[in-house]
Parts: sequence; structure tokens; C-alpha cells
Amino acid sequence: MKPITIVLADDHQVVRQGLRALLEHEPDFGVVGETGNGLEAIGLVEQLRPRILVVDFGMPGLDGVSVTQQVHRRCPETKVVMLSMHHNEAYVHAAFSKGAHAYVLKDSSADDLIQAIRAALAGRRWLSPPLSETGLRAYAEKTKGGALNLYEILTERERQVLHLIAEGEKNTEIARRLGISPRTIEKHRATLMSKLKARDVPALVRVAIQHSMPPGGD
Amino acid sequence: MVAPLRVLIVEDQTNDVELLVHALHKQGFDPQWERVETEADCLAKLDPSLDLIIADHDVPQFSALRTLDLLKERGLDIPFIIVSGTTDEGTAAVAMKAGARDFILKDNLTRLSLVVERELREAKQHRDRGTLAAPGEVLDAFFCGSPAGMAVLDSDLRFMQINQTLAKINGASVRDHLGKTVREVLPKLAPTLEPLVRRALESGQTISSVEVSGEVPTQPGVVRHWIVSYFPIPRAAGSRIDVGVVVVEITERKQAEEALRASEERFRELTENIHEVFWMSDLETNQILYVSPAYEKVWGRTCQSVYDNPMSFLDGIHPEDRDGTLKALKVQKKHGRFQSEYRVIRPDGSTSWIFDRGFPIRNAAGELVRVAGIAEDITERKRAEKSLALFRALIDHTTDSIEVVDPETGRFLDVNERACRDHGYSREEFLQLSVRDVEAMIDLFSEDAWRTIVENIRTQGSQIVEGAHRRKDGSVFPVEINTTYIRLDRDYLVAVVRDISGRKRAEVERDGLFKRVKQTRDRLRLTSLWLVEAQEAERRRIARELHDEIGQTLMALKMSLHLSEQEPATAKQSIGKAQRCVDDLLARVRRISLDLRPAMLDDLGLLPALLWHFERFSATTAVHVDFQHSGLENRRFPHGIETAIYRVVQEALTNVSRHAAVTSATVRVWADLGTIGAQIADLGKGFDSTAALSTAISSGLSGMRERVGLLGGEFVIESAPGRGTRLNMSLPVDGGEAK
Repeated sequence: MKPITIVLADDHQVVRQGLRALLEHEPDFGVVGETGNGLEAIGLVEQLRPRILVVDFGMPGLDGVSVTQQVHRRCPETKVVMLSMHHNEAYVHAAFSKGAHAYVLKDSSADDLIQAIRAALAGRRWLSPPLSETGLRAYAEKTKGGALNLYEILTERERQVLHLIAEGEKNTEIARRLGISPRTIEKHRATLMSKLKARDVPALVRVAIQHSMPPGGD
Repeated sequence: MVAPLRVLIVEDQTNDVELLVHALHKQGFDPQWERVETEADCLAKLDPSLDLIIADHDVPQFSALRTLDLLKERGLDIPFIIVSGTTDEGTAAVAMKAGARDFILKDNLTRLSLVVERELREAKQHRDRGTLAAPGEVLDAFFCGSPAGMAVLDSDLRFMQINQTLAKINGASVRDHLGKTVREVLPKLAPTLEPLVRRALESGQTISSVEVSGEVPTQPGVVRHWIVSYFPIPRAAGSRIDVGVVVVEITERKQAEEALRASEERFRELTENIHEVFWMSDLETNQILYVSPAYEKVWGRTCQSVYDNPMSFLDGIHPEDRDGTLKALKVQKKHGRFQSEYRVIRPDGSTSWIFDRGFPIRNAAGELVRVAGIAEDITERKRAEKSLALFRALIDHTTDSIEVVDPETGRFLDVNERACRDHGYSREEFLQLSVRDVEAMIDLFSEDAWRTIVENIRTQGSQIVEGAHRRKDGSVFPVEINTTYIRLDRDYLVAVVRDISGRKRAEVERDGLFKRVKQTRDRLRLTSLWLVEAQEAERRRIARELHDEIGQTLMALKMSLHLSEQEPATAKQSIGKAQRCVDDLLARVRRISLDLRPAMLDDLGLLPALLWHFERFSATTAVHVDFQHSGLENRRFPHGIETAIYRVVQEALTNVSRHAAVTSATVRVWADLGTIGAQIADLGKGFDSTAALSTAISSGLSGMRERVGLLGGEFVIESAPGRGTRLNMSLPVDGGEAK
């Protein structure tokens, strides 16, 4: 038996046949199982414990990313090589973040796949050109949240209410000054607490002070 | 010094006599005695001056009883005591009955002194009574001083004697009477008196106690009353007979009687005609002294029944009210006062409420003796009170304010509970106010304004207006006032004031709802239009792209393939060209597909899809997107929500690129556990957001708002010409799912 055991998961049988032929051409590679179904793929991996799982990104039912996630959790010794038609760092990011070791574009050369498998076996990450680690890092950076200024997401009305609350006005007075109903003020107050992630009125007042604005302006 | 005691002793045994005398001596008497032992002796010795006779019961020739008979025959009242050697009660009883004063046993003479002393004392009293003044003097004094009028008339009816009393009654002096006839002295009375006197004269009988009325000369016009008696006085000397006259004046008594009779008459008239039951009871015996006939009507029982049994009035009282009445009776017993309210059930089953009161009556000495009371039928009053109370309760608990107003002054004469509550005043405070103090709409301080209003209501009878009233705390509330002009003992305005804040609120709410429904319907119509339009536009675009891009490339592909067939020499070149065409086609199809719906949104979620979109957007429009987000990383949301946010952002950015004339836009997306929100802001040209939402179809604003609205979210556009645009949306998220 060949030392590098491989399981193939792709919903297109033609693709699987092509892949099997391509891989078995390598002397030390042996395809021990194949399936067109994500759920079956997880079962096969658990049963056969292969060194490598080659999985297609876009399978109906359980997709490649989900299969990767499950396999990574249940059989961490099996390295996952993701096949994908998506030339986009977002997909790579998704695959890698769930535990894939290699991301291979379907329209890249056959060599790329062999390289990718060998890199994965060696514990290195691999991705098809033109995708690059640099592009991936840039993308990951963009997905990081937190740059949001919470005050900015308030509507004009909410800002007015916030500043009147900060002045210590009661709902009825705020309602009177803005010409809207006290119930609406009550709603705005709840929205403000939620948007500004404030637990109490002092927290609202702090935000208002940081963004002092002439009250009542429209 | 002891007075001598004259004693006659009837005794045959001298020893016994000595014993007797000795006993008398011993007991402190000084007896001067004589002894007899025969009837003849005894008769000879009987003498009124004797103090005492002591007789032996057993003298053979004589008997004590015979001695008693002798004493009676002689009319002598001398104490007679029997002594006896034997105890014979039968004899003693006979002797005592015959007149013996006492019966003493010879072997118990110690009693003798007591008996003797008693007899002497009694005899003395007897004698004293018989000792009178000389008859003439006494009679004169009696005649003169008698409170009764007295006179003696001769057979010619002339006054022979008359006492002061009668002279005074007749209104003349004694002297003026003497020798005058009755007719001369009392001309008006004579016709009445003369026949009476004559009858006494002729019959020789006493005419006693005849009531006579009439006038005396000195008091004409005044009728007086007397009781007169006439009795014949025979003169010893001859056949002449005089007439004795006794007159007692009873005018005052008569008047008093008359007054009493009249008073009783009035009382009876009163008690017998009033509906109230008048009663009087004796406090001591509880007996009913009087009960008026109304009792029979009110109780349905005879008056006699309550005379017979005073407590029988209780039988007619409702069982529930009996205890209270019994308690009241206990109070009456003690204080003479009685008060009780009870129901009387008559034998026919009908019922009345009775209010029964009793008052104490005291005698001259101030002691409670009787109770007089009056029992009234208060059924009607009760009913009226009850219905009045009911009415008042009704008035007080009605949901409307009721105010009674003086039409002249506008002052409140009466208000119900509700009015007080609605206006925040106490009743006392309210009654100090006038309509001016609560009316909040019309200035009533001019007399004319008030008068005009009152005049309007008076001519129309009633009037319903809407207005506003002011509470005590100054707040104002809308009211509907229904005022009626009422004429009773005087004129009144009765206002039924209803607080219609609720109705007003409801009206406003209803109008609001109606408006919202209308807006929603309009919006829905616009949205449908927009949808149809958008769909057509999309189809047009796809059709054009298919035709322009795919069609053109396919044509090129076809030509390349044709060439490779026609020109074998350049076949390889042509196939290479065809391959490039296929690559181009693949790219175009991918792009069109992505434009229709990016696979990334489904595959990876909102954040990657947005990042990808911004990149493409900036590349094609040259508008830089500043993207700020929080809470999106590694998080998936329901498809509908991801699509909605993606599409709104996409649409909004398209609008920015088309209309805002800016080179950058800011997109902010944030999510927490319950909400996901997005804001697309630019500092560009801006627009009138209100107008845009209601009319613009092409801008897609209505479409965005519908999309957000369908998911229960909020959509707020803030824009004004020249001041940029900020489009805010937020959607509720149920927890969300980690990616």
C-alpha cells in the first residue's frame, strides 16, 4: 500500500476520475476513497484516516468549508486540500480559517495540486497563484472590525435625543421640545443604549460630552 | 297622788274580794269599793260615777251576763270586767260578745292592773269627746265661718239670716239681704230658685244639690254656677216652716271643667283625625292609658287589643325590628324616653315603616309617671329618602361630571363626585367656584359673554358643545358639555360634562392609523410599480448584456471555428483565437452571474460579499468606499437579512455614484446580538428626502425601504439639498449564527 493515503470529495464524477488518474500517477500517492457528498466525505475520513483529503469548495449540501471544519476537528492529522474555482482571497480566507492547508484553483495546472499536497504533508500552507499570502493578509486586515465610530451610526434625531438626555431632560420634556411623542422618545432611548453599547444614562452622557453639539439643532 | 278608783265588785266569796282589792292596791290603785252579791243589790248600787265593775263569773244568785244586760238597760257605759276561777273559753267569748271588756283568771290577777288602766284611759277619752261647747255659740261660728253660703228663708222667701259667704256670692251685704225676698235680691235668678224653695216648703223634703246657673245683679252678663240645697226647718213654736239654704259656688270649677271638656274635645278631634298614632302609657304598670284610633289603621289591630295587652303592639312589628324596639322600651322604663324605627306588618300582609317616639310626663312632684308618644307612618318618607339616596348615588357614580349652575351668576350650586374627581377639587372647594374658574376655552369674564351663552341655552332648551376645562392644578382637558336649562323653584343650568381626552386621543390615534394605512398603501403601490419597473430594467440589462457581450463573443467564436475549418493552414491560429473567446465567455458569464447575485453572499456571508462588492464598485465607479464595521467577523445572518443589507448597500452606493457627485462614500455596518444596522453616507449633493421617498421610483429608495420594512426593520433617510445624504437602516436579528 502506498504511504500517502488520499480521499477525494467532489460532486462531479468526471472531475474525480481526472483527479484520481492524476494523483495515482505519483508513486507514493494512493487514493483510498472517494465521494460526491460532503457528509459522506466526513464519514470516510473518520473511517479511513487518510493523510490527505482533497475536497471541492462548492459541493451541494455540506460545502467544502464545512467539511474542512469538521475534518479538522475530528481528524486533525488529515490535511485538507481545498479545490476551488473562486479566485478570491475571501474564499481562501474562509478555507484557511477553518483548517485547510492548501487552496488550489481548479483552473490551475495539475502540477499545482501535487505541489499543494506535498506542501500540506510537510505542514506548510499553499495557495495557487495568482493568489498570495500578501493578498490574503491584506484581505484578513479588511475583515477586522472595530474601526467603527459608534456615534457616527446615530441618526440625526437620535443625536438630538442623546444630547437632551445628557442635559438631564425628562422624556416628556424632550418629546415636547422635539415635537414628537414620549413613546417615540422611549424608543430612541432604547436604540441609543443599544447602538452606543451603553448600560446606563451616565454612559450616554459620556458619549454626548465627547461629541458635544449645540442641542436642538436640526 | 293616786286618784281614787270607784269599783263595784260582784262577788260571793269575801276572800276573793280581799284578793282583788289587795291586787289593786298592790298595783298602785286606790280602790273605793263595794261588794254586791245579788241582782237587787247590784241595781241599787249602779251609778254613772262608778269607774269599774268587776264581776265574778260564778256567783250563784247572779250572773255576769245579767249585770251586763242591766248596764245596757240603764244606758250606762261603765267598763265591765269578768274574773273567773275556771278557764272556760266558751263562757269568756259569750261574755265578751255581750259587752264585757275583758276576762281575767283569778290565779293571774297581775293582768288586772293593765286592764284597769286601759279601761280607765278609754273611759276618759270617751268622756272627753262628749264634752262640747255650748250648742248656740258653735252653730253661730259654724254658720258665719262656713265656706258654703248659708241662709234661712221664711215661707215668704225672705232672707231671715244669711252668712257672709252667701252675701258675697249674691253681691250684696248681709244687711241688704235681711228682710228682702229672693226676687228682690236676685231678680234674674228668682225664676229658677223660687220653685225649688217652694218645693222644699210644700213637700217638707230636702231639695239637695241642684245645679243652678245665672247672673247676679252686680255682674250682669257673667254666667255663674252654683250648687244649691234647700231644706225645711220646722219651728217648734207653731206650724210655720222656714227654709235653710246652702249654696256652693262652682263657677270656677265649672269653667275649669268646661275648659277641660273643650280641651278633651279638641284632643279627641285631633287624635282621632290624625294619621299618627298617639299613645300614652303608665310607666309603672305599662298599661296603655290611651291610644288613638289611628292605631287600628296602622297596625290593623283593634285599640282594645293593646289596652288589654300593652305589649301586643310588638306582635305587629317585623321580627327583625323587635329587638331594637325592646331595647328602646328598656330605655323608656328608665328615662321615660322612647324612640324606635320599625316596620309594622298588618294582618293583611301590608307593611309600613313607623317612626315611634315617646316623651316623659312628670307629676307635680317631678316623678316620672307616664309616657306620651306618637307613632308616625314614615313609609313614604323612607321611600323618598331611599330613592333620593339612590338618585344621589347614581349621580355621584356616573361617569360624567354633573354640575348644577346658577344661570345668573355662573356659580356652582351642586356638583357630583365625578366632577370633583375630574377637576381635582373637593366638593367644598368646587361650590366656591363659578363656571369662569373651570372654563378654559371661552373668556367668560365679561358679563355679556356669559349672558349670551345662557340665553342661547335657555331658548334652545339644551345645547351640546365641545370645549376644554381647567383642573385645579391648571392642566386643561377636552370636554363635551351637554347643558340643559331647567325651571323648577327657580332657574338652573344642569351641565353634563364628559372628559373626552380618551376620545380625542383615540381620534388622533385613529387619524394617525388611517394616515399610516394610507401611506403604507401608497407605498405598496409605489413599490409594486418599482418592482415591475426594476424587473423590466433588470431584464433589459441582462438582455442587452446577453446580446451585446455574450452574443458578440459567440459570433467571434463561431467565426474562429469556421475559419479553422475553412483554412487548415491557419487552423491552429484560429483555434487559439477560439480558446481565448471561450475564456472571455467564461469571464463574462461569471461577471453577469455575479452581478445578478454574488455566490460569495451565499458561500461566505455578508462581510466578504460587501468587501468584494466595494472593491468592484470602486474599480468601476472611481468612488472610494470607506468601510467601517463591527460585529460582522465570522458571523452569518439569515439569508434574508444578509441579502437585504447587501442590496441596500449596493443600491445606495449606486445612487451615490450616480447622483451625489462625490469621490468617496462611507459605509458603516454594525451588528450586536439583537440588531444589524447599516449606514451609507456621503457628503454630496443631497436631496429632499421626504419628497424623494414619496415620488422617486428610479432611485430605488422605496424599494430599499420596503425590503427593510418586510424584515421588521427601520429605514431612515437623512438628506437635504447640498447637505449630503445619510441612509440608515437597522434590522432585528434573532441571535444570529456563528460562522
